[in-house]
Amino acid sequence: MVTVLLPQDLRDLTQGERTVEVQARNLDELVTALHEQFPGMQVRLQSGYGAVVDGTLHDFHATVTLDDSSEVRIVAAISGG
Amino acid sequence: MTGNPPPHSSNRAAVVGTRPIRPDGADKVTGRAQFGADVAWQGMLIGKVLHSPHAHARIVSIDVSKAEAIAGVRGVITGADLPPIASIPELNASGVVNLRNLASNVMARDKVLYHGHAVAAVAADSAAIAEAALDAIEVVYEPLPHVLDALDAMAPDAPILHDELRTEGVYPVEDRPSNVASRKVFEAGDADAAMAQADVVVEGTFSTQAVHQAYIEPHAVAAKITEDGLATMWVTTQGPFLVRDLSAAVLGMTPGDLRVIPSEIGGGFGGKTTIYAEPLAVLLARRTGRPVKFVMTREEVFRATGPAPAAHIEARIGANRDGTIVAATGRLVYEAGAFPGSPVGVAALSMFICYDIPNVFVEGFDVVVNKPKVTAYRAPGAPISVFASESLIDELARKLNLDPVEFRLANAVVEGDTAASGMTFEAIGLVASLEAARDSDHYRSDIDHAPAPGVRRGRGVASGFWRNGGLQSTVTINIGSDGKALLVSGSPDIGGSRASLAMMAADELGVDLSQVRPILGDTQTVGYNDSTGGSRVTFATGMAAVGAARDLVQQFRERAAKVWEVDVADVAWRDGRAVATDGSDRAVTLAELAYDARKTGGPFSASHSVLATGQGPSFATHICDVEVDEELGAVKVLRYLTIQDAGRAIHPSYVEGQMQGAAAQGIGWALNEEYRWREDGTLDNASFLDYRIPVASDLPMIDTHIVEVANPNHPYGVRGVGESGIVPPLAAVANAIRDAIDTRPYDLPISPPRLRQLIEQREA
Repeated sequence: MVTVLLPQDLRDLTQGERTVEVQARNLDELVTALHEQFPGMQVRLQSGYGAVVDGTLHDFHATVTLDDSSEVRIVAAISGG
Repeated sequence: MTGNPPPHSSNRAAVVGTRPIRPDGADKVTGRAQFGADVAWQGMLIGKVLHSPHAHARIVSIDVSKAEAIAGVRGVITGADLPPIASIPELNASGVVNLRNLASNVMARDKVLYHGHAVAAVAADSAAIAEAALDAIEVVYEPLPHVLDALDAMAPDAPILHDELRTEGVYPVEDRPSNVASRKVFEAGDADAAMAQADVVVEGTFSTQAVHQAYIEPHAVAAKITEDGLATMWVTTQGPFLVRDLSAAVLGMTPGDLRVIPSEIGGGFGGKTTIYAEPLAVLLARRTGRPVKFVMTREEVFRATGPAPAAHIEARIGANRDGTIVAATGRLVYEAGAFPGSPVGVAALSMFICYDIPNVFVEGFDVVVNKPKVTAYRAPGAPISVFASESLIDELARKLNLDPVEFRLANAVVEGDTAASGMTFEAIGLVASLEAARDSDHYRSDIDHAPAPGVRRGRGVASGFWRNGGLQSTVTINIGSDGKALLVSGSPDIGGSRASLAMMAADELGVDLSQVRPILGDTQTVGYNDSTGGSRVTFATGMAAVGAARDLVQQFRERAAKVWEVDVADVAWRDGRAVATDGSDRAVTLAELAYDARKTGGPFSASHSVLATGQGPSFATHICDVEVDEELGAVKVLRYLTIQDAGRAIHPSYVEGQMQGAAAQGIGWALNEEYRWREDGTLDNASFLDYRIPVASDLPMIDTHIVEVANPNHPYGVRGVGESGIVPPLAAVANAIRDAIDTRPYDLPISPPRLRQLIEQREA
């Protein structure tokens, strides 16, 4: 299971949960898995957030692979302007 | 081929790092270059848009019958002619753009949300007839209360712009209409506790106003429908693929039915990364059966396109007596304009990122107000938040009696440090930029703080960060029978990217730059490219160019091996020639291979696509000297030095141009520029006569110093250079004024009336 650390501003969707675990092999799957667990997450994540994996900030691409030891930190990172 | 090319391994760098004449230069200085408004097609009609006279009003009715009856009027459209908002998907394919809000901004439906919101559009035989038609359209409005300031819009009794809007990012969830679209938070450690323990704490409340990207060329689009039903657009834009995809979504078309040809672009700076009249031009071309061209006036650009946001910021920074910063907090309130989507998230990310601070809390709010929807402007959001943070860094250095550059150096992030966002830095150039500042002639020079009665001089320093972008790019290179390489990219050239792409390709191919001709393709002649923005093109499209060139080199080696009947491993590529490494002394040039291609296996061509990752962030440090006439409140910039990490400057003159332009725009932002709205919500200064940008006589020579800390993830070490240079100037200017007049400016622009007010407060 991938550990996902969520910022305060996504906890309205997780009913206050700060850390969740999901099954995902890459960041694209992670979005789908989070959305299944927390409806509304897909649109939110894809409109202004990125994911920090091993210290690098990524967009939610399938090219960024994850394994069970992965820790993903979600951050508001993309300019909406 | 796809994928990020590995680092440059050749010894040859004969072109990269030099300063050749720009390939588009002659056309631009002789007036031959074709910009957005320059296209003229047979039978072309003139399009014009009717804009709302109100800041907020319900549209009761629109009667276009009198307009349609005017001779020479060929078509009139309103929001009713566009697909219903509910039928439009919420997000675009990349998930970044809310298409429903975008469509509502392109043309109002039931409500107008700002003075300038499009209400109807016409196509006519001439501009005069189109104007007359606009006058003849009868719109009945029911004016509604409006709100212009973000703090006012957050008040419980504020007029609500969107009844369905709920604040995202607040827990427990608040299920009531709000103008606060979202809340974003960055946190690390325990900022409140660390702040309480800090030896010295500085704080301030800051404000900035909406500013214009001030591209010289207004928005323009021409559209026509060809016999096969394909819609073709000629557009001045930073993103032809973006214009295609967004326009198609708003019109309910498939992107493949739209061809977008990018014109030369007379500046964009982020402001040409969305759509306005583009779908209207297609719709009217379809309706009239004739080409239609829209060219905005400058007044329309001001009223109906997106500026950078106004903002309110509260910030605190705490440090120990030894000069170690221990905590920082920020509360950012950014105006989004009429629809959600200010850059407050990335502004929050950028605010304190220059420093290794263990305890950070930054909270940002995206707030809708009755103003045009904001759009990107160089390093969107960051100059504003960094104006606050770098002002307080300066103040903290003063309180600690430390040199402002040495104080920054002592706290600067270095390779291996982790920011509050969780990002861990690879090789970065902040320290190098600060050391260059410390060692510069400018910083080491003396400054006379009181050269004459009533005249004060001061010096300010500030640093800044920008993350830069990667995203998708494609480049195709075709080799002609004369051996020349035609390099086709899909990234509009707003900062010299044609030259940079060609230079990297020339070094990869081992040929003189004159043998590479870079051109800009359109959405039907080159593979997909994300927009020119985020300082990504020389980095990402550069990777695609390098990849295509390397693919060609492999083809050349294989062709020579085939002709020589040797293994390809026995053929090397050196200085534009295939060379046999089997001791036979055989060699063949690129031109010879190209000439014989028809006999040896056909033409040489290669395309390379990337989803580029590994963009290195860019840091900058600026030094500004100002002179203040205390009686007039006037500020003159005496000397300015911009230092920036380019990773590797492919074409140093272009890099310097980016640095100088960003500094000039930032100085304008700091000193004079602001959109001014009247109390009734109408814009008061929609022209360059009343909106004051710096002109050449306002500025000294902007001195430049390029730092090169190579980005390990790019074949030539490139980092984006277009944006980090506009992050420090707001604070650098403000810090210089603070140094001059012994009073800190907290509100931008620091225009003469505001400066006089500050001086009066000081004297009181």
